[in-house]
Amino acid sequence: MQAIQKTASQSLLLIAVLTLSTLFEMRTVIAQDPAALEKPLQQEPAKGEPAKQEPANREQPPEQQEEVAMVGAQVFQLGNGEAIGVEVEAQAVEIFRDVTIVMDGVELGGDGAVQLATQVMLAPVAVDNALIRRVCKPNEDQLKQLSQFDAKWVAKEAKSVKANGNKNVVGGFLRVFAGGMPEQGNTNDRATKISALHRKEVAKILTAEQNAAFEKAVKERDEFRNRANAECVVAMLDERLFLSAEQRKQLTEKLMAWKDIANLEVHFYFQNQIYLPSLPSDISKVLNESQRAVFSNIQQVNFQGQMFGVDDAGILITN
Amino acid sequence: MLLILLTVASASVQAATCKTVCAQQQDWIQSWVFNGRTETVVRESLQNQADQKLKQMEEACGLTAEQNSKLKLAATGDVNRFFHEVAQLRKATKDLNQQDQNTVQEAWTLISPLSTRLQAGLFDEKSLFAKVMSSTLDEAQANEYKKMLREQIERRHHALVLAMVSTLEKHVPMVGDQREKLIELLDAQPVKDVKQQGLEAFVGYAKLDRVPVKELEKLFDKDQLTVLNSLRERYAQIVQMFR
Repeated sequence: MQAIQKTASQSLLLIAVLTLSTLFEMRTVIAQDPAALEKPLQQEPAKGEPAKQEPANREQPPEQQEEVAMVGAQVFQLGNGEAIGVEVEAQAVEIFRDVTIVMDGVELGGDGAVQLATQVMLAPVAVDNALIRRVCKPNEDQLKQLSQFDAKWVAKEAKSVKANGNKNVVGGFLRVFAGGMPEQGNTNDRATKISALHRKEVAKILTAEQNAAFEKAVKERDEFRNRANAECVVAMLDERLFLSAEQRKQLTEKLMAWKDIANLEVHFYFQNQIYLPSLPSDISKVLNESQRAVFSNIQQVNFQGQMFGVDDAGILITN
Repeated sequence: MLLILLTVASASVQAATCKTVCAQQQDWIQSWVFNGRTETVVRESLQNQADQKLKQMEEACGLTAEQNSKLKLAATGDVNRFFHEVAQLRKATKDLNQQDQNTVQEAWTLISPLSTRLQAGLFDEKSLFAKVMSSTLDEAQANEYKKMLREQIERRHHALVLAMVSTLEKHVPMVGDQREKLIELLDAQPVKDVKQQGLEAFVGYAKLDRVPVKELEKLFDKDQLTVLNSLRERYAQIVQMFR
């Protein structure tokens, strides 16, 4: 038993290192080119019109390069030279500093905290900003107003938003291994609230028609996520229960309406095929007797991480 | 990156299960092979899986009573053979010192292949069930059954494509038309079925890797492509396994 505990302790250390490196890696998508999420769409030149030349001053001013290199030398790869990228990266460092304060006692390493803040809180806002540019075609004045919802704005809101619970991904894994570790800040909950606030503020800038178009795009994206996750769960069930076409259809509909479907990290279950998520009980009504017998013997585990966070439900063995 | 996270999560689940069960019974087989379930429950579960598989075949290609009986016997043989190996492993690990870390690691080396087999399913292509099936079904039946399995795999892969696109949207904003066209492009890319290697979760990324860059350039703007290409680069090594 002691040997097992010792192995678990070593694993704990490894997990902490892996988790931080995972968080660090996840940052790179935006870090490599934050402008990809922040910039307006590049317009194709009209026929006969000469292609727009890139501005001559795309290179970062030397003083900005130096500043970013100083604040984020060990954290970021510099962006692609876009001034806005430099700004976002510099501001993300600020978020990291704020988050360590906001998250009450979470002592993450610098890289990990920047990862968490940037990816979990900044990315949804940045992605929605970019979605607005694509679906609403805002005018110059609106674009200027929309540009206020940047890393600095997220940092400010992160301080004022009150998050439910006190958990995060690192704490989740630590608790699983060591038990009784103090719970930590729920960054996902904070991110959800910041996202909602962003949408509310954006509605004040867009026209009613533009806002309707944005809301429609967000709704379609949410429904798509539900459909994607529902179809994955049905595929997992089909693998074990050999469902008929009618059963697959009924189960997909039921699962799309399930309140927890959006938060499932479905890849986990394809990676760990002995488990299924803890599904709603009315699923079994769609199954026949022999399918129910197989279904009842499958271990159901709640893994509701959202790539970056495992909330309080964390990991729960239900049978 | 995702692989690391999922592996970490998997390890956590295993450890949580092990922690509970080991504390009660210190039974390595139960905790590491059966994931905390009893032998009776696992046996019942495997038997149910076999029954379910036979029903599936019955529906796909219509089995005769004799074929059904032979396949049922083969499935029972696979289950019995598995538990025979479990019994041998139990004997081999019975007197190992659980206080010694090296011994624990040695035990894990012995136990993990059995755990992997159970997770992958007992009735794979190397099973007695598969051998009896290939010698029992006639050509038409075998084709029907293969067709049904292929359709099942296609559905799984399509679901994984949807899941990956949904994950992509956390990084790359897409309008509805782009999303639908990307799904069409991804569905059209053939990839190997790598379920046995535990790599199935990466099917979407493997398909993304196979989409010609020119096709993506028609669909996305420069900024979206930057993020997509970054993801393609990140999964480049893993998706080699799908070729």
